[in-house]
Amino acid sequence: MSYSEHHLARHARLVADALLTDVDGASAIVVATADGFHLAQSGPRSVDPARLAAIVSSLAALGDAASRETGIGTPRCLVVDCSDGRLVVRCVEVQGEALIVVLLTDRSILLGLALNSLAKAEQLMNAA
Amino acid sequence: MNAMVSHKIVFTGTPGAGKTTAIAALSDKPPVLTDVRNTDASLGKERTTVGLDFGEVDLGDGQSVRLLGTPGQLRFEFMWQIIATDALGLVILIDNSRPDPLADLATYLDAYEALLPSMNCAVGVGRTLECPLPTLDDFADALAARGWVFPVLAVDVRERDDVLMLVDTVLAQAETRI
Amino acid sequence: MTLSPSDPVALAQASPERLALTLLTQRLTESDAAKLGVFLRIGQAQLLCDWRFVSEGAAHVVVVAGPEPDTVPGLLDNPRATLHVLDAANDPAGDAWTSLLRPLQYEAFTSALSRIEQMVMRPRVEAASSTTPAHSSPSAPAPVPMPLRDPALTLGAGYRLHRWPSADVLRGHRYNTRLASFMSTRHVEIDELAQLSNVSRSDCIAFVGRLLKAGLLDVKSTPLRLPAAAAALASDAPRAAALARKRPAPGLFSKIRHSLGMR
Repeated sequence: MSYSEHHLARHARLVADALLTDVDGASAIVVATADGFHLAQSGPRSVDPARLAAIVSSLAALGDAASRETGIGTPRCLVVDCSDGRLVVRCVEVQGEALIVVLLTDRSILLGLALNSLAKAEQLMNAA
Repeated sequence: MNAMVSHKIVFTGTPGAGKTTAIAALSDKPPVLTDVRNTDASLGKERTTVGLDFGEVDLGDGQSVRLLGTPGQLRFEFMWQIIATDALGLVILIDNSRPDPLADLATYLDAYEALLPSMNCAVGVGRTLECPLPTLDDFADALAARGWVFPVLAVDVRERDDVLMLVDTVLAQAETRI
Repeated sequence: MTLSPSDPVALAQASPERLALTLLTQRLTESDAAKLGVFLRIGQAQLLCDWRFVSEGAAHVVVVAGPEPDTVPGLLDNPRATLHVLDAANDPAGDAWTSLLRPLQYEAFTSALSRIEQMVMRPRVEAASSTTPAHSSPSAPAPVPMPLRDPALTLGAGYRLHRWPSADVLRGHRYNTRLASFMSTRHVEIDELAQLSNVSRSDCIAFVGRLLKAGLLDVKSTPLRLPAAAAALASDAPRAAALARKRPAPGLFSKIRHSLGMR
Protein backbone atom coordinates (compact mmCIF):
# COMPACT_ATOMS: atom_id res chain seq x y z
CA MET A 1 0.00 0.00 0.00
CA SER A 2 1.33 3.45 -0.86
CA TYR A 3 0.59 6.35 1.34
CA SER A 4 0.96 9.06 -1.27
CA GLU A 5 -1.44 11.27 0.66
CA HIS A 6 0.22 10.67 4.02
CA HIS A 7 1.11 13.93 5.72
CA LEU A 8 4.78 12.97 5.68
CA ALA A 9 4.79 11.71 2.10
CA ARG A 10 6.38 14.90 0.83
CA HIS A 11 9.15 14.65 3.43
CA ALA A 12 9.68 11.07 2.49
CA ARG A 13 10.04 11.85 -1.22
CA LEU A 14 12.49 14.63 -0.41
CA VAL A 15 14.71 12.31 1.56
CA ALA A 16 14.52 9.48 -0.94
CA ASP A 17 15.74 11.81 -3.69
CA ALA A 18 18.42 13.38 -1.49
CA LEU A 19 19.90 10.07 -0.48
CA LEU A 20 20.08 8.92 -4.05
CA THR A 21 22.15 12.01 -4.86
CA ASP A 22 24.33 11.92 -1.75
CA VAL A 23 25.23 8.27 -1.65
CA ASP A 24 27.33 6.98 -4.50
CA GLY A 25 26.39 3.42 -5.11
CA ALA A 26 22.93 3.67 -3.59
CA SER A 27 20.76 1.32 -5.56
CA ALA A 28 17.41 1.79 -3.81
CA ILE A 29 15.88 3.89 -1.07
CA VAL A 30 12.53 3.24 0.54
CA VAL A 31 10.91 5.34 3.23
CA ALA A 32 8.22 3.58 5.24
CA THR A 33 5.97 4.03 8.23
CA ALA A 34 6.79 2.04 11.32
CA ASP A 35 3.79 -0.19 10.67
CA GLY A 36 5.06 -1.12 7.22
CA PHE A 37 3.53 1.17 4.59
CA HIS A 38 5.87 2.68 2.04
CA LEU A 39 5.76 6.46 1.58
CA ALA A 40 8.39 6.99 -1.07
CA GLN A 41 11.10 5.24 -3.04
CA SER A 42 13.94 6.08 -5.38
CA GLY A 43 16.87 4.41 -7.08
CA PRO A 44 17.71 2.43 -10.15
CA ARG A 45 17.23 -0.98 -8.63
CA SER A 46 13.83 -2.55 -8.96
CA VAL A 47 12.42 -3.49 -5.57
CA ASP A 48 8.88 -4.11 -4.42
CA PRO A 49 8.54 -1.11 -2.12
CA ALA A 50 5.38 -2.34 -0.42
CA ARG A 51 6.93 -5.68 0.44
CA LEU A 52 10.24 -4.20 1.48
CA ALA A 53 8.46 -1.67 3.68
CA ALA A 54 6.66 -4.44 5.53
CA ILE A 55 9.82 -6.50 5.95
CA VAL A 56 11.96 -3.68 7.29
CA SER A 57 9.21 -2.55 9.64
CA SER A 58 9.34 -6.05 11.15
CA LEU A 59 13.13 -5.81 11.33
CA ALA A 60 12.92 -2.47 13.02
CA ALA A 61 10.33 -3.71 15.47
CA LEU A 62 12.45 -6.73 16.34
CA GLY A 63 15.44 -4.45 16.76
CA ASP A 64 13.38 -2.34 19.11
CA ALA A 65 12.36 -5.42 21.07
CA ALA A 66 16.01 -6.47 21.33
CA SER A 67 17.06 -3.05 22.55
CA ARG A 68 14.30 -3.00 25.17
CA GLU A 69 15.18 -6.50 26.26
CA THR A 70 18.80 -5.51 26.75
CA GLY A 71 18.09 -2.03 28.07
CA ILE A 72 20.34 -0.23 25.64
CA GLY A 73 18.02 2.55 24.63
CA THR A 74 16.28 3.34 21.38
CA PRO A 75 17.44 1.63 18.20
CA ARG A 76 18.93 3.87 15.55
CA CYS A 77 20.13 1.56 12.81
CA LEU A 78 20.06 -2.02 11.71
CA VAL A 79 22.43 -3.34 9.09
CA VAL A 80 21.92 -6.44 7.01
CA ASP A 81 25.40 -7.09 5.65
CA CYS A 82 25.27 -9.51 2.74
CA SER A 83 27.69 -11.01 0.25
CA ASP A 84 26.45 -8.78 -2.57
CA GLY A 85 25.39 -5.65 -0.79
CA ARG A 86 24.08 -4.00 2.32
CA LEU A 87 20.71 -3.00 3.63
CA VAL A 88 20.99 -0.17 6.11
CA VAL A 89 17.82 0.57 8.05
CA ARG A 90 17.53 3.82 9.97
CA CYS A 91 14.74 4.40 12.46
CA VAL A 92 13.86 8.08 12.45
CA GLU A 93 11.36 10.33 14.12
CA VAL A 94 9.75 13.05 12.08
CA GLN A 95 7.24 15.41 13.67
CA GLY A 96 6.79 12.90 16.47
CA GLU A 97 6.10 10.02 14.13
CA ALA A 98 8.31 6.97 13.69
CA LEU A 99 9.48 6.29 10.16
CA ILE A 100 11.98 3.91 8.67
CA VAL A 101 14.47 4.84 5.98
CA VAL A 102 16.03 1.97 4.08
CA LEU A 103 19.17 2.36 2.02
CA LEU A 104 20.25 -0.46 -0.28
CA THR A 105 23.86 -0.21 -1.45
CA ASP A 106 26.62 -2.29 -2.94
CA ARG A 107 29.57 -3.28 -0.79
CA SER A 108 31.82 -0.55 -2.12
CA ILE A 109 30.19 2.06 0.12
CA LEU A 110 31.76 2.59 3.48
CA LEU A 111 29.22 1.77 6.15
CA GLY A 112 30.10 4.91 8.05
CA LEU A 113 29.29 7.08 5.06
CA ALA A 114 25.94 5.39 4.67
CA LEU A 115 25.11 5.87 8.34
CA ASN A 116 26.15 9.48 8.18
CA SER A 117 23.99 10.11 5.15
CA LEU A 118 21.02 8.57 6.85
CA ALA A 119 21.53 10.74 9.92
CA LYS A 120 21.52 13.81 7.70
CA ALA A 121 18.35 12.52 6.04
CA GLU A 122 16.58 12.57 9.38
CA GLN A 123 17.65 16.16 9.93
CA LEU A 124 16.48 17.04 6.45
CA MET A 125 13.03 15.58 7.06
CA ASN A 126 12.61 17.39 10.33
CA ALA A 127 13.71 20.65 8.74
CA ALA A 128 11.37 20.34 5.78
CA MET B 1 24.40 -30.56 30.06
CA ASN B 2 20.64 -30.62 29.62
CA ALA B 3 19.47 -30.31 26.07
CA MET B 4 17.21 -27.31 25.61
CA VAL B 5 14.08 -28.38 23.80
CA SER B 6 11.53 -25.85 22.74
CA HIS B 7 8.27 -26.26 20.95
CA LYS B 8 6.14 -23.48 19.56
CA ILE B 9 2.49 -22.70 19.16
CA VAL B 10 1.66 -19.90 16.77
CA PHE B 11 -1.26 -17.52 17.05
CA THR B 12 -2.27 -15.89 13.82
CA GLY B 13 -5.38 -14.19 12.56
CA THR B 14 -6.99 -10.90 11.77
CA PRO B 15 -5.79 -7.64 13.27
CA GLY B 16 -7.62 -7.01 16.47
CA ALA B 17 -8.64 -10.64 16.93
CA GLY B 18 -6.61 -10.89 20.12
CA LYS B 19 -3.38 -12.71 19.29
CA THR B 20 -1.32 -10.58 21.63
CA THR B 21 -3.95 -10.90 24.36
CA ALA B 22 -4.12 -14.66 23.94
CA ILE B 23 -0.36 -15.03 24.29
CA ALA B 24 -0.29 -12.76 27.29
CA ALA B 25 -2.99 -14.93 28.90
CA LEU B 26 -0.80 -18.01 28.74
CA SER B 27 2.76 -16.78 28.95
CA ASP B 28 4.70 -17.27 32.18
CA LYS B 29 6.13 -13.78 31.89
CA PRO B 30 4.86 -10.68 30.11
CA PRO B 31 5.41 -11.37 26.43
CA VAL B 32 7.84 -9.53 24.20
CA LEU B 33 5.82 -7.32 21.93
CA THR B 34 6.62 -5.66 18.63
CA ASP B 35 3.63 -3.43 18.27
CA VAL B 36 3.90 0.07 16.87
CA ARG B 37 1.56 2.94 16.27
CA ASN B 38 -1.05 2.04 13.71
CA THR B 39 -1.47 4.40 10.76
CA ASP B 40 -4.25 2.50 9.04
CA ALA B 41 -7.50 4.13 10.16
CA SER B 42 -9.56 1.20 8.89
CA LEU B 43 -8.13 -1.01 11.61
CA GLY B 44 -9.72 0.95 14.39
CA LYS B 45 -6.91 0.39 16.84
CA GLU B 46 -4.09 2.46 18.11
CA ARG B 47 -1.29 -0.05 17.90
CA THR B 48 -0.53 -3.06 15.75
CA THR B 49 1.98 -5.90 15.74
CA VAL B 50 4.56 -5.72 12.98
CA GLY B 51 7.19 -8.18 14.13
CA LEU B 52 6.07 -11.02 16.29
CA ASP B 53 4.78 -11.44 19.81
CA PHE B 54 6.75 -13.80 21.96
CA GLY B 55 5.64 -15.56 25.11
CA GLU B 56 6.87 -18.69 26.79
CA VAL B 57 5.66 -21.48 29.05
CA ASP B 58 8.35 -23.26 30.99
CA LEU B 59 7.82 -27.02 31.19
CA GLY B 60 10.86 -27.69 33.37
CA ASP B 61 13.79 -30.00 32.54
CA GLY B 62 14.99 -27.57 29.91
CA GLN B 63 11.79 -27.78 27.92
CA SER B 64 9.53 -24.92 27.03
CA VAL B 65 6.72 -23.97 24.72
CA ARG B 66 7.12 -20.70 22.87
CA LEU B 67 3.96 -18.81 22.06
CA LEU B 68 4.43 -16.72 18.96
CA GLY B 69 2.02 -14.20 17.54
CA THR B 70 2.16 -13.10 13.94
CA PRO B 71 1.26 -9.68 12.61
CA GLY B 72 -2.29 -9.80 11.32
CA GLN B 73 -2.21 -7.71 8.18
CA LEU B 74 -1.76 -9.35 4.84
CA ARG B 75 1.34 -7.33 4.01
CA PHE B 76 3.17 -9.26 6.69
CA GLU B 77 2.35 -12.59 5.09
CA PHE B 78 6.06 -13.23 4.59
CA MET B 79 6.35 -13.52 8.39
CA TRP B 80 3.50 -16.01 8.71
CA GLN B 81 5.23 -18.91 7.02
CA ILE B 82 8.55 -18.18 8.68
CA ILE B 83 7.02 -18.14 12.14
CA ALA B 84 4.71 -21.12 11.61
CA THR B 85 7.23 -23.51 10.08
CA ASP B 86 7.88 -26.48 12.40
CA ALA B 87 5.28 -25.27 14.87
CA LEU B 88 3.57 -27.74 17.18
CA GLY B 89 0.30 -26.00 16.36
CA LEU B 90 -1.40 -23.04 14.77
CA VAL B 91 -4.30 -21.12 16.24
CA ILE B 92 -6.22 -18.91 13.81
CA LEU B 93 -8.13 -16.18 15.61
CA ILE B 94 -10.99 -14.55 13.75
CA ASP B 95 -12.83 -11.40 14.76
CA ASN B 96 -16.50 -11.97 13.99
CA SER B 97 -17.21 -8.25 14.07
CA ARG B 98 -15.26 -7.67 10.87
CA PRO B 99 -17.14 -7.26 7.58
CA ASP B 100 -16.42 -10.74 6.19
CA PRO B 101 -15.04 -13.18 8.76
CA LEU B 102 -15.36 -16.17 6.43
CA ALA B 103 -13.22 -14.37 3.86
CA ASP B 104 -10.74 -13.62 6.63
CA LEU B 105 -10.57 -17.32 7.44
CA ALA B 106 -10.00 -18.11 3.76
CA THR B 107 -7.11 -15.65 3.71
CA TYR B 108 -5.29 -17.54 6.44
CA LEU B 109 -6.14 -20.94 5.02
CA ASP B 110 -4.66 -19.80 1.71
CA ALA B 111 -1.58 -18.32 3.33
CA TYR B 112 -0.79 -21.44 5.34
CA GLU B 113 -1.94 -23.90 2.71
CA ALA B 114 1.44 -25.55 2.34
CA LEU B 115 1.73 -26.15 6.07
CA LEU B 116 -1.85 -27.17 6.90
CA PRO B 117 -1.76 -30.84 5.84
CA SER B 118 0.59 -31.62 8.69
CA MET B 119 -0.38 -28.80 11.02
CA ASN B 120 -2.38 -29.11 14.20
CA CYS B 121 -4.73 -26.22 13.75
CA ALA B 122 -7.68 -24.69 15.57
CA VAL B 123 -9.92 -21.75 14.78
CA GLY B 124 -11.05 -19.41 17.54
CA VAL B 125 -13.86 -17.02 16.70
CA GLY B 126 -14.15 -13.94 18.86
CA ARG B 127 -16.98 -11.48 19.50
CA THR B 128 -19.64 -14.06 18.69
CA LEU B 129 -21.97 -12.70 21.37
CA GLU B 130 -22.25 -9.29 19.81
CA CYS B 131 -21.86 -10.62 16.25
CA PRO B 132 -23.45 -14.08 16.05
CA LEU B 133 -23.13 -14.33 12.26
CA PRO B 134 -21.50 -16.13 10.66
CA THR B 135 -22.13 -19.00 13.06
CA LEU B 136 -19.58 -21.54 14.18
CA ASP B 137 -21.35 -24.02 11.93
CA ASP B 138 -20.74 -21.67 9.01
CA PHE B 139 -17.04 -21.74 9.81
CA ALA B 140 -17.07 -25.53 10.13
CA ASP B 141 -18.86 -25.79 6.78
CA ALA B 142 -16.36 -23.45 5.18
CA LEU B 143 -13.49 -25.55 6.46
CA ALA B 144 -15.13 -28.81 5.41
CA ALA B 145 -15.71 -27.40 1.93
CA ARG B 146 -11.96 -27.04 1.65
CA GLY B 147 -11.33 -30.47 3.10
CA TRP B 148 -10.26 -29.33 6.55
CA VAL B 149 -11.59 -30.52 9.86
CA PHE B 150 -10.22 -28.15 12.46
CA PRO B 151 -11.75 -27.41 15.83
CA VAL B 152 -13.89 -24.27 15.66
CA LEU B 153 -14.62 -22.67 19.01
CA ALA B 154 -16.15 -19.44 20.20
CA VAL B 155 -13.59 -17.68 22.34
CA ASP B 156 -13.08 -14.58 24.38
CA VAL B 157 -9.30 -14.27 24.43
CA ARG B 158 -9.52 -12.23 27.60
CA GLU B 159 -10.68 -15.45 29.28
CA ARG B 160 -7.71 -17.70 29.89
CA ASP B 161 -9.87 -20.82 29.93
CA ASP B 162 -11.10 -20.07 26.42
CA VAL B 163 -7.55 -19.76 25.15
CA LEU B 164 -6.62 -22.97 26.96
CA MET B 165 -9.47 -24.79 25.25
CA LEU B 166 -8.04 -23.79 21.87
CA VAL B 167 -4.58 -24.95 22.85
CA ASP B 168 -6.03 -28.20 24.20
CA THR B 169 -7.55 -29.02 20.82
CA VAL B 170 -4.19 -28.37 19.17
CA LEU B 171 -2.44 -30.67 21.63
CA ALA B 172 -5.04 -33.39 21.11
CA GLN B 173 -4.42 -33.32 17.39
CA ALA B 174 -0.68 -33.49 17.95
CA GLU B 175 -1.11 -36.55 20.17
CA THR B 176 -2.82 -38.49 17.41
CA ARG B 177 -0.05 -37.74 14.94
CA ILE B 178 2.65 -39.42 17.02
CA MET C 1 -9.46 -67.50 26.99
CA THR C 2 -8.91 -70.22 24.43
CA LEU C 3 -11.78 -71.61 22.49
CA SER C 4 -11.99 -74.43 20.07
CA PRO C 5 -11.31 -73.17 16.61
CA SER C 6 -14.13 -75.23 15.23
CA ASP C 7 -16.83 -74.14 17.65
CA PRO C 8 -18.41 -71.00 16.27
CA VAL C 9 -21.28 -71.26 18.74
CA ALA C 10 -18.89 -71.10 21.67
CA LEU C 11 -17.09 -68.26 20.00
CA ALA C 12 -20.38 -66.52 19.44
CA GLN C 13 -21.38 -66.79 23.07
CA ALA C 14 -18.04 -65.84 24.48
CA SER C 15 -17.33 -62.61 26.26
CA PRO C 16 -16.62 -59.73 23.96
CA GLU C 17 -13.24 -59.37 25.63
CA ARG C 18 -10.09 -60.68 24.01
CA LEU C 19 -10.28 -64.09 22.43
CA ALA C 20 -7.25 -66.27 21.91
CA LEU C 21 -6.82 -67.30 18.29
CA THR C 22 -4.15 -69.54 16.85
CA LEU C 23 -2.11 -69.66 13.69
CA LEU C 24 -0.53 -72.78 12.23
CA THR C 25 2.14 -72.38 9.57
CA GLN C 26 2.87 -74.94 6.90
CA ARG C 27 5.87 -75.14 4.59
CA LEU C 28 6.96 -71.56 5.26
CA THR C 29 10.62 -70.76 4.92
CA GLU C 30 12.42 -69.88 8.14
CA SER C 31 12.69 -66.32 6.96
CA ASP C 32 8.98 -65.99 6.22
CA ALA C 33 8.04 -67.60 9.51
CA ALA C 34 10.35 -65.27 11.43
CA LYS C 35 8.91 -62.25 9.64
CA LEU C 36 5.36 -63.21 10.50
CA GLY C 37 6.47 -63.72 14.08
CA VAL C 38 7.84 -60.21 14.24
CA PHE C 39 4.79 -58.75 12.50
CA LEU C 40 2.55 -60.42 15.04
CA ARG C 41 4.56 -59.17 18.00
CA ILE C 42 4.45 -55.62 16.66
CA GLY C 43 0.83 -55.70 15.58
CA GLN C 44 -0.62 -57.58 18.54
CA ALA C 45 -1.42 -54.43 20.51
CA GLN C 46 -3.63 -53.17 17.75
CA LEU C 47 -5.50 -56.40 17.06
CA LEU C 48 -8.68 -57.24 18.91
CA CYS C 49 -7.77 -60.83 19.76
CA ASP C 50 -4.75 -62.51 21.32
CA TRP C 51 -2.99 -64.35 18.55
CA ARG C 52 -0.28 -66.99 18.88
CA PHE C 53 1.45 -69.44 16.65
CA VAL C 54 1.04 -73.15 17.23
CA SER C 55 3.18 -75.84 15.73
CA GLU C 56 0.63 -78.61 15.51
CA GLY C 57 -2.95 -79.51 16.06
CA ALA C 58 -6.06 -77.58 15.27
CA ALA C 59 -5.72 -73.86 14.61
CA HIS C 60 -8.10 -71.07 13.75
CA VAL C 61 -5.97 -69.95 10.83
CA VAL C 62 -3.56 -71.85 8.65
CA VAL C 63 -0.78 -69.93 6.92
CA VAL C 64 0.58 -72.07 4.13
CA ALA C 65 3.21 -71.51 1.47
CA GLY C 66 1.52 -72.23 -1.81
CA PRO C 67 -2.03 -72.75 -2.89
CA GLU C 68 -2.98 -75.82 -0.95
CA PRO C 69 -2.58 -76.64 2.72
CA ASP C 70 -1.54 -80.06 3.91
CA THR C 71 -4.44 -81.94 5.32
CA VAL C 72 -4.25 -84.43 8.11
CA PRO C 73 -7.56 -86.03 8.88
CA GLY C 74 -8.81 -85.12 12.31
CA LEU C 75 -6.16 -82.52 12.98
CA LEU C 76 -7.07 -79.73 10.62
CA ASP C 77 -10.80 -79.69 10.85
CA ASN C 78 -12.31 -76.53 9.50
CA PRO C 79 -9.80 -73.75 10.10
CA ARG C 80 -11.68 -70.48 10.11
CA ALA C 81 -9.40 -69.18 7.42
CA THR C 82 -6.43 -70.10 5.30
CA LEU C 83 -3.84 -67.60 4.20
CA HIS C 84 -1.62 -68.49 1.26
CA VAL C 85 1.91 -67.14 1.04
CA LEU C 86 2.63 -66.70 -2.65
CA ASP C 87 5.27 -65.21 -4.88
CA ALA C 88 3.91 -62.19 -6.65
CA ALA C 89 5.77 -63.22 -9.80
CA ASN C 90 4.05 -66.59 -9.87
CA ASP C 91 0.62 -65.46 -8.78
CA PRO C 92 0.28 -61.72 -9.19
CA ALA C 93 -3.48 -61.90 -9.16
CA GLY C 94 -3.75 -63.79 -5.91
CA ASP C 95 -6.95 -63.39 -3.98
CA ALA C 96 -6.45 -60.21 -2.02
CA TRP C 97 -8.38 -61.60 0.92
CA THR C 98 -6.46 -64.81 1.39
CA SER C 99 -3.08 -64.20 -0.24
CA LEU C 100 0.03 -62.82 1.33
CA LEU C 101 2.43 -61.95 -1.43
CA ARG C 102 6.17 -62.08 -0.98
CA PRO C 103 8.01 -60.07 0.14
CA LEU C 104 5.73 -60.33 3.13
CA GLN C 105 4.32 -56.99 4.27
CA TYR C 106 3.31 -56.07 7.78
CA GLU C 107 0.15 -54.27 6.81
CA ALA C 108 -1.10 -57.06 4.55
CA PHE C 109 -0.63 -59.63 7.33
CA THR C 110 -2.24 -57.62 10.09
CA SER C 111 -5.09 -56.54 7.81
CA ALA C 112 -5.74 -60.18 7.01
CA LEU C 113 -5.81 -61.06 10.72
CA SER C 114 -8.13 -58.18 11.37
CA ARG C 115 -10.55 -59.37 8.70
CA ILE C 116 -10.48 -62.82 10.22
CA GLU C 117 -11.20 -61.32 13.64
CA GLN C 118 -14.22 -59.52 12.21
CA MET C 119 -15.41 -62.74 10.68
CA VAL C 120 -14.91 -64.68 13.90
CA MET C 121 -16.42 -62.06 16.17
CA ARG C 122 -19.39 -60.86 14.11
CA PRO C 123 -21.66 -63.77 15.05
CA ARG C 124 -20.87 -63.03 18.73
CA VAL C 125 -22.13 -59.47 18.46
CA GLU C 126 -25.26 -60.45 16.59
CA ALA C 127 -25.97 -63.31 19.02
CA ALA C 128 -25.38 -61.10 22.02
CA SER C 129 -27.61 -58.31 20.75
CA SER C 130 -30.51 -60.68 20.29
CA THR C 131 -30.14 -62.53 23.55
CA THR C 132 -32.98 -61.98 26.01
CA PRO C 133 -31.64 -61.43 29.50
CA ALA C 134 -32.63 -64.31 31.75
CA HIS C 135 -33.95 -62.09 34.50
CA SER C 136 -36.21 -59.90 32.37
CA SER C 137 -39.94 -59.84 32.88
CA PRO C 138 -42.67 -57.65 31.44
CA SER C 139 -42.73 -55.47 34.51
CA ALA C 140 -38.97 -55.15 34.97
CA PRO C 141 -37.24 -52.31 33.24
CA ALA C 142 -35.19 -53.45 30.28
CA PRO C 143 -31.52 -53.54 31.15
CA VAL C 144 -29.48 -50.83 29.53
CA PRO C 145 -27.74 -52.52 26.62
CA MET C 146 -23.95 -52.38 26.53
CA PRO C 147 -22.99 -49.54 24.23
CA LEU C 148 -20.67 -51.94 22.40
CA ARG C 149 -23.75 -53.64 21.04
CA ASP C 150 -24.96 -50.42 19.47
CA PRO C 151 -25.57 -51.58 15.91
CA ALA C 152 -24.32 -48.22 14.71
CA LEU C 153 -20.87 -49.03 16.02
CA THR C 154 -18.62 -51.47 14.23
CA LEU C 155 -16.20 -53.65 16.11
CA GLY C 156 -12.64 -52.81 15.33
CA ALA C 157 -13.62 -49.76 13.32
CA GLY C 158 -11.84 -46.44 13.27
CA TYR C 159 -13.75 -43.18 13.32
CA ARG C 160 -12.74 -39.88 11.81
CA LEU C 161 -14.61 -36.61 11.59
CA HIS C 162 -15.33 -35.23 8.17
CA ARG C 163 -16.69 -32.01 9.64
CA TRP C 164 -16.24 -30.32 13.01
CA PRO C 165 -19.33 -30.88 15.18
CA SER C 166 -21.73 -28.15 16.15
CA ALA C 167 -21.78 -26.87 19.70
CA ASP C 168 -24.95 -28.88 20.42
CA VAL C 169 -23.21 -32.14 19.61
CA LEU C 170 -20.19 -31.22 21.71
CA ARG C 171 -22.26 -30.44 24.76
CA GLY C 172 -22.62 -32.92 27.59
CA HIS C 173 -19.17 -34.04 28.60
CA ARG C 174 -16.36 -31.64 29.30
CA TYR C 175 -13.93 -33.69 27.26
CA ASN C 176 -16.10 -33.97 24.14
CA THR C 177 -14.14 -31.22 22.43
CA ARG C 178 -10.93 -33.05 23.13
CA LEU C 179 -12.39 -36.35 21.91
CA ALA C 180 -13.52 -34.66 18.72
CA SER C 181 -10.05 -33.19 18.27
CA PHE C 182 -8.52 -36.67 18.44
CA MET C 183 -10.83 -37.76 15.64
CA SER C 184 -10.15 -34.75 13.47
CA THR C 185 -6.75 -35.84 12.16
CA ARG C 186 -7.15 -39.56 11.48
CA HIS C 187 -9.30 -42.61 12.14
CA VAL C 188 -9.26 -43.57 15.80
CA GLU C 189 -10.67 -46.69 17.41
CA ILE C 190 -12.77 -46.56 20.55
CA ASP C 191 -10.08 -48.15 22.71
CA GLU C 192 -7.45 -45.74 21.47
CA LEU C 193 -9.82 -42.82 22.04
CA ALA C 194 -10.33 -43.91 25.62
CA GLN C 195 -6.60 -44.37 26.11
CA LEU C 196 -5.67 -41.00 24.63
CA SER C 197 -8.32 -39.08 26.51
CA ASN C 198 -8.54 -41.02 29.77
CA VAL C 199 -12.29 -40.86 29.26
CA SER C 200 -14.20 -44.03 30.05
CA ARG C 201 -14.82 -46.38 27.19
CA SER C 202 -18.58 -46.11 27.66
CA ASP C 203 -18.45 -42.32 27.45
CA CYS C 204 -16.32 -42.57 24.32
CA ILE C 205 -18.80 -44.98 22.81
CA ALA C 206 -21.69 -42.69 23.69
CA PHE C 207 -20.01 -39.70 22.10
CA VAL C 208 -19.02 -41.60 18.97
CA GLY C 209 -22.60 -42.85 18.72
CA ARG C 210 -23.80 -39.25 18.88
CA LEU C 211 -21.39 -38.21 16.16
CA LEU C 212 -22.51 -41.13 14.02
CA LYS C 213 -26.14 -40.15 14.40
CA ALA C 214 -25.22 -36.59 13.39
CA GLY C 215 -23.62 -37.99 10.26
CA LEU C 216 -20.24 -36.50 11.07
CA LEU C 217 -18.03 -39.55 10.98
CA ASP C 218 -16.20 -41.51 8.37
CA VAL C 219 -15.93 -45.14 9.48
CA LYS C 220 -13.08 -47.36 8.40
CA SER C 221 -12.49 -50.91 9.50
CA THR C 222 -9.41 -51.46 11.60
CA PRO C 223 -7.14 -48.53 10.91
CA LEU C 224 -3.98 -50.43 11.73
CA ARG C 225 -0.98 -48.18 11.68
CA LEU C 226 2.18 -49.32 10.07
CA PRO C 227 5.07 -48.55 12.37
CA ALA C 228 7.94 -46.86 10.72
CA ALA C 229 10.43 -49.29 9.14
CA ALA C 230 8.46 -52.39 10.02
CA ALA C 231 10.24 -54.24 7.26
CA ALA C 232 13.61 -53.38 8.73
CA LEU C 233 12.42 -54.43 12.15
CA ALA C 234 11.42 -57.80 10.78
CA SER C 235 15.08 -58.71 10.52
CA ASP C 236 15.90 -57.53 14.04
CA ALA C 237 13.55 -59.28 16.39
CA PRO C 238 14.92 -58.08 19.76
CA ARG C 239 14.90 -54.47 18.64
CA ALA C 240 11.45 -54.91 17.20
CA ALA C 241 10.16 -56.27 20.47
CA ALA C 242 11.74 -53.41 22.41
CA LEU C 243 10.28 -50.82 20.10
CA ALA C 244 6.90 -52.44 20.28
CA ARG C 245 6.94 -52.01 24.05
CA LYS C 246 8.08 -48.39 23.77
CA ARG C 247 5.15 -46.01 23.86
CA PRO C 248 4.99 -42.71 22.03
CA ALA C 249 6.07 -39.86 24.25
CA PRO C 250 3.00 -38.81 26.21
CA GLY C 251 5.12 -36.81 28.63
CA LEU C 252 5.33 -33.70 26.49
CA PHE C 253 1.61 -33.15 26.24
CA SER C 254 1.01 -33.96 29.88
CA LYS C 255 3.72 -31.48 30.79
CA ILE C 256 2.24 -28.79 28.61
CA ARG C 257 -1.23 -29.35 30.01
CA HIS C 258 0.10 -29.41 33.55
CA SER C 259 2.18 -26.27 33.04
CA LEU C 260 -0.82 -24.46 31.63
CA GLY C 261 -3.05 -25.67 34.45
CA MET C 262 -5.27 -27.79 32.21
CA ARG C 263 -6.91 -31.00 33.36
